[in-house]
Amino acid sequence: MNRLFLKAFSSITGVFIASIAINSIAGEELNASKQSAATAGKPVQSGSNKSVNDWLIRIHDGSRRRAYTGTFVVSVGADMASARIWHVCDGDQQMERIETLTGTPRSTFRHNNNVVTFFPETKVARSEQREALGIFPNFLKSNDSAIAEFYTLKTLESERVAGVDTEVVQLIAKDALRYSYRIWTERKSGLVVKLQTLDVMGRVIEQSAFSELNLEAPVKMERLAAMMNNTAGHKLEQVNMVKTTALAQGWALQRGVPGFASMNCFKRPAQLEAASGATTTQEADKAGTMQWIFSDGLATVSLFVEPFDRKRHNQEGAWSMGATQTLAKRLDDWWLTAVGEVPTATLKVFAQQLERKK
Amino acid sequence: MMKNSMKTEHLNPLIQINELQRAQISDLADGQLQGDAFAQAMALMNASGQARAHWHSLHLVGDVLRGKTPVSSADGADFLEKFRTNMAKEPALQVASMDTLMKFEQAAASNEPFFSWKWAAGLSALAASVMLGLNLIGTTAVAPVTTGSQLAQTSVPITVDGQTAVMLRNPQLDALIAAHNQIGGSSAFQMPSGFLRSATYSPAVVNDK
Repeated sequence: MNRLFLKAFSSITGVFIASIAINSIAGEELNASKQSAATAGKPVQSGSNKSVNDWLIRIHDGSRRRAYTGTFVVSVGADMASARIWHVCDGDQQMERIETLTGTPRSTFRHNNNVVTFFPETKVARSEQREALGIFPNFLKSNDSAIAEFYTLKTLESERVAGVDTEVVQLIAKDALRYSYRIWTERKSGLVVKLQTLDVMGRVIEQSAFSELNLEAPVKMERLAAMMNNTAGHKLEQVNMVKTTALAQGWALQRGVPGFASMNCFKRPAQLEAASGATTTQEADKAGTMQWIFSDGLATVSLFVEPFDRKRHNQEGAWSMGATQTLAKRLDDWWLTAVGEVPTATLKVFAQQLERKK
Repeated sequence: MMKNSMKTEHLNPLIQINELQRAQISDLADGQLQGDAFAQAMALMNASGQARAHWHSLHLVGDVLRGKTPVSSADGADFLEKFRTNMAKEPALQVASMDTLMKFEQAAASNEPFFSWKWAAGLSALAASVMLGLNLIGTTAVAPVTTGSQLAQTSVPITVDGQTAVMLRNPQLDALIAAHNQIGGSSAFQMPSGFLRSATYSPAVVNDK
């Protein structure tokens, strides 16, 4: 008995507090999501749903109908980054050129879902398909989209931003599992001119905006296409994601997180694994990382799961960079890294619900 | 009144515990329980006033054995209630009530003026970068290469549990954040805005080898 208490006394408070803390966190998270949990994943056909989705489709289409150039500024925490943008469209064909003006020099070209990024310092050109870029128009039109169930659309007073008249709306999160947004769109086209992400306390945690915008600029698609295809002098890296399913990889979520639907699941390519710390391609292949992507239509969460490696995985915790939160956690023989534009509490719910099926 | 009802809900004195469960509480006090056994014991503590009383008696004996004035409250629920209240104040939870959330409707973002000021300051500083950037476009000049090890030594300001801190750049974590931005970091209204955002702002640059 004496041994029990001498040993226990040093740890008992910690154990008790930790356990209550876990209960408290889980309880509050569940309370936060309680209102929406009952209807999670169900199709919604309400009028408000239609208006939110219609508005989102309008702004999605907004950029597709206009050619423009501009300077784009992203403010994340203490960091600021900027890029020069060229955008042109021709029917269904979309083309974009983004030249960073701050940080590591790089040029990114997008032709619909094809993306090529040039790194002039290292003479590397990385080519990839971004399947997710084409998902959302269809997602919005489908019955699976229940954005209005989790966000309230509110119209604010119009403002003038980057020299253009804008309509301002706020998408207010209905629970604490997601952030809210304030969006400025060009009045005629619906082009997003400015976007703020607000945390659960209403503070701006990230902002993206055009500081200067020239609509109907004479941008030539052929010229951008020629630049995109000119990879001469660069080492061309092809990033091919291997599509898979979470179940095939042996993973599932116990109940799901309200509003978040599984969008895609990939196996990470070997070269990125190697870049991330695996010493050889063979090691990377053997290790492999699953990337399971969820979205509620506005925010996105990636769950990266890989075999636990004592040498590399030595820092559990949660980190925040602007709207992007990261949670790293060991799950028995596995290592989870959850990344998303959601509160840390939401990532914790994902982590709690992730379970091994094999 | 509400607090009292919450206490009653968490501590039901009518739920009796048997010898096996008493042993469970002792094991919990000894720090020997893990996994499901730990969860079961905690569920029992939450459900049964008798279990809590037993926990308290163990705690009290511990105080006496250590030769200290017993600090245990006669009513553990008070401690639990205070603890829950304190936990609710912890910024790390990042969970707000619906009342707080709905304040968005009435008020502009509380730090909007700060962002506007920072925006203006940033744009001034940016002017030089724009000129430099425009000069760079179309040239083939090669800047010094940043190595992976240099990346690893880069520090970035972050927020940990509500506190500003500095974290050494972790290339492995950077690669995953970049992967998220590339594949997942787009959404209904953030596309193409989200694409522009991730192409413009990329704290994780995996190609810098």
